[in-house]
Amino acid sequence: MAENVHNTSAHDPADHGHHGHHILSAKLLLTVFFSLVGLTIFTVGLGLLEQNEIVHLGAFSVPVALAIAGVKATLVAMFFMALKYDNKVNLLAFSLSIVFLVVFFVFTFLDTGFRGSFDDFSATPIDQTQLEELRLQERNDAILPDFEAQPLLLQGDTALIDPTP
Amino acid sequence: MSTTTAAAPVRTQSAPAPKHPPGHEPVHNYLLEPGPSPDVRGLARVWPTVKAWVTTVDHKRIGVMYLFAVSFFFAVAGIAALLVRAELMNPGSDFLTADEYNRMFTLHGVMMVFLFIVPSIPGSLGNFVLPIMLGVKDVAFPKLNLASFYVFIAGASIAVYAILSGGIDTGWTFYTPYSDETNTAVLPMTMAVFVAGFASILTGINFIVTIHKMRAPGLTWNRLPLFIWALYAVSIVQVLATPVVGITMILLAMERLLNIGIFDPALGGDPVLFQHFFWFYSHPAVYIMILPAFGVISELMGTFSRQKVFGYRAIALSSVAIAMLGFLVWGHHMFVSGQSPLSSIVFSLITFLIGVPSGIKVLNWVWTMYRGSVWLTTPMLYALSFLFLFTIGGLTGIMVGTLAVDVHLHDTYFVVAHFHYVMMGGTVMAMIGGLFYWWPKMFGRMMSETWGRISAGVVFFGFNMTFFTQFILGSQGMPRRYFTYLPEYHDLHQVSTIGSWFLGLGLLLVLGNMIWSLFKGKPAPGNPWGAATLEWTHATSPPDHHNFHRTPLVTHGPYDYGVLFSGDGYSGDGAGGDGSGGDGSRGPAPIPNPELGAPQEMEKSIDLGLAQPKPSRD
Ligand code: HEM
Ligand SMILES: [Cu+2]
Repeated sequence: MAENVHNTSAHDPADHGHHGHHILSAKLLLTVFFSLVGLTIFTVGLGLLEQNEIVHLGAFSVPVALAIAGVKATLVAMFFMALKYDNKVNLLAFSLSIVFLVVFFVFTFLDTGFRGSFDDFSATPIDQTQLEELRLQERNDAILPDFEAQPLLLQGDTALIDPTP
Repeated sequence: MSTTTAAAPVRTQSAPAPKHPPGHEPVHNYLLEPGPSPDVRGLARVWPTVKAWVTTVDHKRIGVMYLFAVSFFFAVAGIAALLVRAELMNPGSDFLTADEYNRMFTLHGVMMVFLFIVPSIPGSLGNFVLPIMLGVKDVAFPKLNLASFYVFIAGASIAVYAILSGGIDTGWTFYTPYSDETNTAVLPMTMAVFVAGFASILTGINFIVTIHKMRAPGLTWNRLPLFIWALYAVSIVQVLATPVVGITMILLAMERLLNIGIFDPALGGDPVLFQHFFWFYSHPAVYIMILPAFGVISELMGTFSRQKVFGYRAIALSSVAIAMLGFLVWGHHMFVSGQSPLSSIVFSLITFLIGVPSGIKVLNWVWTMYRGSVWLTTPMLYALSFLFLFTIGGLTGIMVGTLAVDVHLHDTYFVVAHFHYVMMGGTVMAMIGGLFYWWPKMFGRMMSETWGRISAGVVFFGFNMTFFTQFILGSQGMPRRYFTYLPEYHDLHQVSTIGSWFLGLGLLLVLGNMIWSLFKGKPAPGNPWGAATLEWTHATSPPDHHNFHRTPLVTHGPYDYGVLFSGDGYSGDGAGGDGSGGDGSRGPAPIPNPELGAPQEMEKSIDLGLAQPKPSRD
């Protein structure tokens, strides 16, 4: 609230108290550091194993790599960025930015993952429809003579019609 | 006596009890103070005045400087538009070659979008009004605010450099692969966009923090003026989306400079990915452009219908809904880009959804006028223009958002007409309406009502003549960004070009009116329109350097106009204490005489004994 309309700079040092940094023990920091290093080595190792076809992850290769990277990023955010001990609003802002990134990725992969699949979405592919139309036309042409109407009277009956005007 | 250019002295002790009765303190007109003292005369005033302005951290002055800057770019880009239209008067080359034509419409688009419309309402009206509406002295980070202005100017200067060094011919969308290949000034122009983007981000952060942390006592979220709600929503979008356009421009620069394959298929990139990046920013950016306009219109509709804005919460929350949903529809710009049909279908569906919150707003505004006493001042005429034009623009948006229809209409004049109806018919109309509305507050002078109304008519007529024809042209197949066309389009193109002259004339009338009012306008009272938000009820016209002498105490909703006119200043209806709901029992509030103004509520404030003592010289 802005009670201090005219008071531009008076900052009460006392109300800074609870913003202070949470001090993490060296042990915790080192643990996190070595877990990060460990995870990195794990990623690289996994990559090598895959390359030499010892481990087969197939389609899961990228998701697994991303998952490990995600764990690492979480560790960094929680401890090095101290979000774990910070005001929860900051955690919210951070998470929202992740959600935001996910939205961008998901929708973009919705495109790149399904490119060129136009035919799958049309009830009948357009070229098939055209082909079918062509076939019908040919069949039509082929059977047309059979359906040619035969005149019932080949010659006019002169007896019935008086030729003289 | 030396000049007093520095900001007001910082007080460390509480001041002696005020010597003036509430509401009658001497006013330090922010336009003049701080500045040279009155005994400095003639040319000697120039430098101290300029210095006081360019180094100011006063949100009001920054708002005014933004207003000048964006008006300048609006004028330049507008002239480019008139040239584009003039060239299209006849098929073939009249006075621009095909190449020059491409540069001209790109110049128009880039300037209008990145240098005018994005910063327009938040930078000028927002900066000026937001802190006063919240009842505070300034935004949360005044220096950051000034920095945002200079970052904007830096971006604009780079843009000017890009234009002078040959211009750019890609269109405002910078689509790859063409923007990778053309040897026009793509790099400087994208740098300009990158830099100007930061100005948006800084403003957004400033607004969010100010709204969250600094509201005057009594100003609950339910009593926030809808303009503030809109600026809040838009700030979120700015902070979230603008970095993406920055990244996109950096990626494009990396590709051009370092030959890293990102968008260029020759290097293994994906050109459609550029469109994803670009529209991931630029569709939310169209809401950056329109949401502040929604806020302005809500203020105008309430004040000039003389009753509570109908559906206060629905309007407030639909701004937020638009801000969120706006992030999920960008693919509707890419229906024919080769994007996968699955995403086209999904994007088309979500595009339909976004029509819902927009529709909610329009219906609520219409309902606000119902049974009100609609007061057809110039700002209201512009607000009504907005209502017509934005509705056309929004509905044609749904049309082009329809997957099958857009396959035909994409990249035709129909799309051009659609976005001009929303951007110009929407945002620009709202901005002009807002300027007419807040002008007395900003400069302490009334504008001419007669000429204001005439200008509203001419602009409305010229606008429709220019752009309605383009709907027809587009539906007949006229492609956009072509400098020549088939003979069957000739007539409509001519109508459109002549319309653009009316539009230009109307806008000149607005400009003339403003300049006239600065010198000849009648002095404005504190509350000419009888509005109920803090900038009208608690501040002088023009406001004091510190906005308020004492912190205002908010005791009613932003649209409780009747309260101002009831004898003791408070109607006592406990239920109507926030912005929501109409009460139905009372009729609309009386219409004041704008030259005399409506009652203010200066006495409703909290005196902390911090008021400025009377300066020695007055
Ligand atoms: C109901 C809301 C809206 C919907 C459903 C909508 C939908 C669309 C769609 C589908 C397109 C792509 C058409 C095409 O290129 O084939 C489009 C283009 C565009 N819209 Fe909207 N729109 C809406 C509101 C707005 C607003 C409020 C603005 C700006 C203030 C805006 C500005 C634009 C611009 C600038 C383009 C053209 C971009 C370009 O290709 O240069 N739209 N709109
Ligand atoms: Cu869009």
